[in-house]
Amino acid sequence: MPAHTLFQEWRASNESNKYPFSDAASLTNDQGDFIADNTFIDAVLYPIGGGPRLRLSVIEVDFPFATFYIGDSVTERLASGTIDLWEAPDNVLLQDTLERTAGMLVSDATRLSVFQSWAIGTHTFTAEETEFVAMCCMPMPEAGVRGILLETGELLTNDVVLLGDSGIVLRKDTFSFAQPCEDSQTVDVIRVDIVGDPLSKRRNCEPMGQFVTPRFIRQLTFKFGANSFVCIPGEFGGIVVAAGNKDAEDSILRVRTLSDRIVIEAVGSSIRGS
Amino acid sequence: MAAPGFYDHNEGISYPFIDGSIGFREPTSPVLATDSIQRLPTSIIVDAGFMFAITHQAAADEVLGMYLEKVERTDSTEFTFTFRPTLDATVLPRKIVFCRDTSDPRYSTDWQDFVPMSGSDTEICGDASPGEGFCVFGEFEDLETMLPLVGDSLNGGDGEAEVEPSLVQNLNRTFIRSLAISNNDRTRSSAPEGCPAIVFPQPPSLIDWFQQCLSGHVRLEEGHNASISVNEAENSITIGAVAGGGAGEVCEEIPLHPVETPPSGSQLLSGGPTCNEVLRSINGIGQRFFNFEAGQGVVIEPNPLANKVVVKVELTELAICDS
Repeated sequence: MPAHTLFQEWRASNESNKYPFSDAASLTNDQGDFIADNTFIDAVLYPIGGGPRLRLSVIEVDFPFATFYIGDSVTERLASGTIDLWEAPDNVLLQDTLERTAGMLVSDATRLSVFQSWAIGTHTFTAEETEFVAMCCMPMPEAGVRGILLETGELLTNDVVLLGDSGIVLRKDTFSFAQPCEDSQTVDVIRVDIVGDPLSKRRNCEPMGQFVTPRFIRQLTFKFGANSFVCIPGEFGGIVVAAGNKDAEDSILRVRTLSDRIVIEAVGSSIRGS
Repeated sequence: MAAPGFYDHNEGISYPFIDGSIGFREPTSPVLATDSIQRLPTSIIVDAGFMFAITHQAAADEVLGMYLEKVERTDSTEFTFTFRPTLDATVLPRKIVFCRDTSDPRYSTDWQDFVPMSGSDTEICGDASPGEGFCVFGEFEDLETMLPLVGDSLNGGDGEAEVEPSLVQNLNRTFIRSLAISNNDRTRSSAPEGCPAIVFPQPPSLIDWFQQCLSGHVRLEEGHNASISVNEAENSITIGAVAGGGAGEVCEEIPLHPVETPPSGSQLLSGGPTCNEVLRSINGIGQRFFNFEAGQGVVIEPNPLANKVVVKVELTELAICDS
């Protein structure tokens, strides 16, 4: 008989032991809840920031759903996975509070259906009762920048794009700084310039068809006979119109500037007045 | 009697594959194709593990698994083993391929990165792979007998030779791999009705320019009118606007990308005239609708079709002295 046929398959070999729980785990709590040895076939746990003594900390039954929480020695609810007890899957996918995958409890639909018989409510377990073996637990320290969490609660991860919009411009630069006893280090810099949008009124009104591009006056041309004089705005966009006396010291032409208009007139006695 | 080692033990069982998914021998029920991956002898692969770092399109609640898609004899002494994710290829077009020679030491471990399914597909940021895996190989005698000729292969699909789920680690969405920056298009001017259109060197759409793959140590810098503050207690960075803050008030336009240029006839990147290129006041009076009023002796005639105002000093109703 070939020697290899003597060996049980992986899952079958764990049917009669407490794996993935520790050999010392009692698998029962002081409320009388009992988890059978063969309920879970396997487990892989990697919650970010997870500490020592990962365990199956809480099972919440709220028909038709059951939620499995894993915790460590500091945090009771590090990650969780919810299943529909009437349509149980084969595995319980675990996610942390930011919906990042934190591991999996391997089972099957038949084994998980046993939780249909559990009372509605919260069932808690200590590390002595449901601690997982170390082989199933992968340390995931919370080092580095794991993501950008917005005020809305949305988490940005993987390859993140920062987009400047509506008067904000992003540019890449570099920055070098000296380090003691080492070569200087150069890092990438993201420079944020807030310059505003000079055409904001167009941006806001054009989509609704309420913006009409104005026709600005770019210059004034003064013509008299064959003569023509083009006046463009000065540094501040202004033009001065005045009656001069270059050609006639006793010119009767006057240009009066009032608060809201210019009056062009000739001085002299009116016929009506005489 | 000494207990067998872990790898030795695994040569006789399906592990690292799910129980009973490989190692089928005749007669099989149901009947398997002669090249079915499920005929793979259990002695070939004794351990494996896979890690996904980035899966761009996979949903957060999708279970990610691996299966052995193909074993092929590619040379007289060489075999390749191709593993694929259980996700649809359109979602995660990646594979991992191990190449073994029959002369390689028994129980040696091979590490490989995931590679694109097609040669033209590339990852953002160069060579950054979306994941990696390892495989430990045992005895090849049974496989050499099963696949005697170069080109012979065993083939399977999703759900057949599937790796134990606990051997697959999904780290998607657990870290930031890189930052990229870009700028949305600015608001651009358009010509008034009846005037020639403004022609921009770059098409007026979302700017298709990115400064990609910023990684490692990244620094945020205050530019014009910007204020960046760090709150270590809350682990937060606040980017705000303060008039004159950071690098101070801006004196000139900031291009959205390195080669942005103004359109012909304009000094501004957004097109249109500058502030001192349009008439804003006459004699210090700035109004949208400017009034020229005719006083005594003067007649003002508008000619809007010609863009003209005619000022006539006709001395009407003025007493004139005859010399």
